[in-house]
Amino acid sequence: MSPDIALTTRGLGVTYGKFVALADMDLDIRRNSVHSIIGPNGAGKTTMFHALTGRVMPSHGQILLNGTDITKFRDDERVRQGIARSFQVTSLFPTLPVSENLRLAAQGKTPWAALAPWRMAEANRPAMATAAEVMERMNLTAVHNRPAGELSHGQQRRLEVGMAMAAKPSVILMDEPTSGMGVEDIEEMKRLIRDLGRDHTVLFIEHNMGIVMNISDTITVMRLGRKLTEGPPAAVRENPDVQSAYLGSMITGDMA
Amino acid sequence: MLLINRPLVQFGLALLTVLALPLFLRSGILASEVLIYALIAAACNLLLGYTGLLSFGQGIFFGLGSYVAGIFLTRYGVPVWMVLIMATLLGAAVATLVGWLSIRRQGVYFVMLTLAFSQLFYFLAYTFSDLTGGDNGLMDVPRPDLGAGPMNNAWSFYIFVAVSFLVLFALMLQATQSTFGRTLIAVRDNEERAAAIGFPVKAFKTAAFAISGAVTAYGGALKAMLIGVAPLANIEHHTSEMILIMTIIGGSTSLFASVIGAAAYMILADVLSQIWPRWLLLLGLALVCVALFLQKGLWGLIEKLWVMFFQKDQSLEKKEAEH
Repeated sequence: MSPDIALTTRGLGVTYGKFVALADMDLDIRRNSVHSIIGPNGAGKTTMFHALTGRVMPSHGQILLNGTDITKFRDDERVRQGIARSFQVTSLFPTLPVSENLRLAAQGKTPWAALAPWRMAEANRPAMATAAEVMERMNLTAVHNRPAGELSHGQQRRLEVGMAMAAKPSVILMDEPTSGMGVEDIEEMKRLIRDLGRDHTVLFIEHNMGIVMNISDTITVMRLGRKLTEGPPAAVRENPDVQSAYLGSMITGDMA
Repeated sequence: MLLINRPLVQFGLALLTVLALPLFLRSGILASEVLIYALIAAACNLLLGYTGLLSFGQGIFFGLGSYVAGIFLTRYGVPVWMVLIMATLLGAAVATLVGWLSIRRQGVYFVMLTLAFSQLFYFLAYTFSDLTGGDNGLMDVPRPDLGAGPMNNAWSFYIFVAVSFLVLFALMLQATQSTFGRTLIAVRDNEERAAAIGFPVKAFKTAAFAISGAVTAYGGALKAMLIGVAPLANIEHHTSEMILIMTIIGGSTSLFASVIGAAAYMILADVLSQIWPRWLLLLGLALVCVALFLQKGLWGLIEKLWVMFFQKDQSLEKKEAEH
């Protein structure tokens, strides 16, 4: 395997009974690239994320992360291997302050040390520093003491992505990071994702074509649980299959 | 965090309780019982309030602790300190097993599993009557003798219970403040996310069970020494229910809430049972009221009053800052 590939899947498949949610998925995600997954609803995008993060165990195929076969790893074990994700539907610790949400996310990288009932949470300086860093980067420092459940939608989405960043993953998976965001917040998130691509490998699902076409290095188009096509934005935009299958007028629209 | 929920204040309140009980209660037995149940309810709170696990299995660990005391003190004359350690370790071991198996399922199925284990251990105790005394339980469990003769006076045993209570309460407070306790709260808040950010959730839940079971078994051993009997009733599901009711009445937002819950239950039961033999009916009514109107329990009420009278300014400031 080439060393500049961070994440590889071979023949990855997920079936629920007779229903095939994902089949024959071969992916090679280049290191420090921004790779987006697009496709109509029900194309299997989120299912693939679940399979990659271990939320769902794949029925077929193989997943390699930085050369390690993680196909059989539990979700929490994969975090230690360097995968982190954000969710399409915001999933935070709603009663806990923003800073505690991020401290936990940073501690999640060394979870067994957290099992000690005598060790104080604040004693983990690196985790505290990471939490502060992410808050600064996500513009959440002003609300660090507020329970996550009380934040505005845009702030919650930023925290959602911040939770994935706090694990300092080599590959970061984002499931519709801009879902439900206002226009200004979207610009901010676009800048952030591009920025993340410099020192992380970013894999994200997105419906906003403006973002996808602008910041992706590679786009994978999915349909009915399979890969339809893959390539750089320009090639995908011109592909007639893609145009008829999914994008249609959307692609010629907002290109900001 | 509210001032009254800070760990040092919570410990101060526990210390105050220990000092106040002898002033208000005439019976040293009742006072000791209050502290023992306070300890056990706090251990239950570790699961219910901090981890979000409603366990009907607490009676198992309580009963085991009292049997360990009964068997090893009466038949083998093992020294008290060693018996207490044995009870604690066995409690932790069995709780690890029961917890580890029960957390395989979530929600209602988890609750049903703990209930099933509670029945299982009850019938085990009932069946192995050579060991447990079956229906009769184990009689003549002695109180500890720390050099000055056995503690025949209930109040001298109270001191022994009080010291145990304070030490274990402090340890549990420490656990809730640690990375471990903070992770439990995260698991309670959003288990899926806790797993997604890398925590092996099952290990944390099992560890919470182990600690809870250890403390509960220690309390069971104390109870057997207090009343001199290790009855079958201690391992019955009714005991589990009682522990849960105390915890819920007290509230699950802090450990001291459980002390309030246990004290309210025991003292209310003592007063009511002298007035009316069907006193449990009134207690049921009290539980209905808590479930309907006081979901954060008595401690929730105290928190509310505290904010109203003492931290009014602070809550106002906070509101203004938000505008």
